[in-house]
Amino acid sequence: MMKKFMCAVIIVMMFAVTSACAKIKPDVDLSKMNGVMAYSGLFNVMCNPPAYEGKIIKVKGFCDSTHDDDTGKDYYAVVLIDGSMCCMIGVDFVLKSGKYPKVGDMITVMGKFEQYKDGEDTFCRLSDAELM
Amino acid sequence: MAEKLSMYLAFPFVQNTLIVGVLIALCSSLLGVVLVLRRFSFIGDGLSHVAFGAMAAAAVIGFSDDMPFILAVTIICAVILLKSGRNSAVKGDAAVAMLSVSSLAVGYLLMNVFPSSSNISGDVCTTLFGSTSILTLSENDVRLCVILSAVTVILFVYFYNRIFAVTFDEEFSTACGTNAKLCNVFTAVITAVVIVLSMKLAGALLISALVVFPALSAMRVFRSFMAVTISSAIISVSCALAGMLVSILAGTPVGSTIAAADMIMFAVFFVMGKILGRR
Repeated sequence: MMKKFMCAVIIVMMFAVTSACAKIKPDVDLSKMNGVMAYSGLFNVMCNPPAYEGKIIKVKGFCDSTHDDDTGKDYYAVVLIDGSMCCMIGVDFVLKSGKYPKVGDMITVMGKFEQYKDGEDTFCRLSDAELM
Repeated sequence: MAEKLSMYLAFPFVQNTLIVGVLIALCSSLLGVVLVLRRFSFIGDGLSHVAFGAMAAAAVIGFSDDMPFILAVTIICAVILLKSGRNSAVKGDAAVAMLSVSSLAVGYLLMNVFPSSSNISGDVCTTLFGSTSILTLSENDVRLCVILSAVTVILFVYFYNRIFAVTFDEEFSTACGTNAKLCNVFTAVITAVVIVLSMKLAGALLISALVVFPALSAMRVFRSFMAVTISSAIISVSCALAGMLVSILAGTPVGSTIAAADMIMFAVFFVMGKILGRR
């Protein structure tokens, strides 16, 4: 009985370790950078979208939202302010699942960077995103 | 700290920043020796304000690539300023002050009357103080900076003897057959190019730190033109590199961190000069 219990515990622990190792790691992690570098990093991503297409990007900033009256859609973005508080930059995100945060909340978001068309215009966003 | 630095250095935009920053610092230091000796230390400030005004005008006109327009306007103003001699109606320092303040005023006025972005204050702050502009270079910016820096250094080395002669005694070098007027025009063009490039690194208001401090620091200790030029280049590159690395790690604005590093180095060389009994 004891042996069966120990085997079950070991199997569960191995499963937990394997799951932790299989966790997705970001290709570009801006969440660990200071204000100046995180702002510059996201600026470079947004100015050169093809180079980051399909990459997993992790960003920390505050949540903002806007409502489009024409389409009736709500758009959520994570916004960064640079170190001297004079400039802001953000990127849209679409959650894989779950509830969206409140506007003004400090969030860390990780998702796949992609370009998409909305009408005639091309935009960038983090798709299949998760709140960390 | 080493781990943090290696994390940042893995990003291409950080690598570009360091490469371009070092090249700009090198060019500024070479130019700074000539300008300081010819009593044109403030021309860097003046021309950077002209470039700011040209940038605003380019945005109003709607140029997609504003660099050629900014370079052209700055070069013309540099030639006018450096050619104004003893017999001109408006003397050197007054001409610099006049052009400088007019360009800054007109530039800011144009940006407010014809705004091309939703964050004018942010754009002005970044342009004037160079907080993140060196960290947000495009591929074209990097290529242009590398090419112009290489050309500047090569031309300075090639024309070193003529620059040396005209800097110390223009009339004597003219009498010896050197085309001093052409040399002055060449210096003006190089000055304008280096100033426009340096704005990306230090911003329009802090550019003089890049140009003036390394030359003045070197002059505290060294005597010969060659020694001052070489040491000025080493000081400028070291301070720019140190400033950029501190800025990257500590999250401080790049331009002012480099200016602070230049200031500290000047203080060190000033003390060294006193100890060595130079001046």
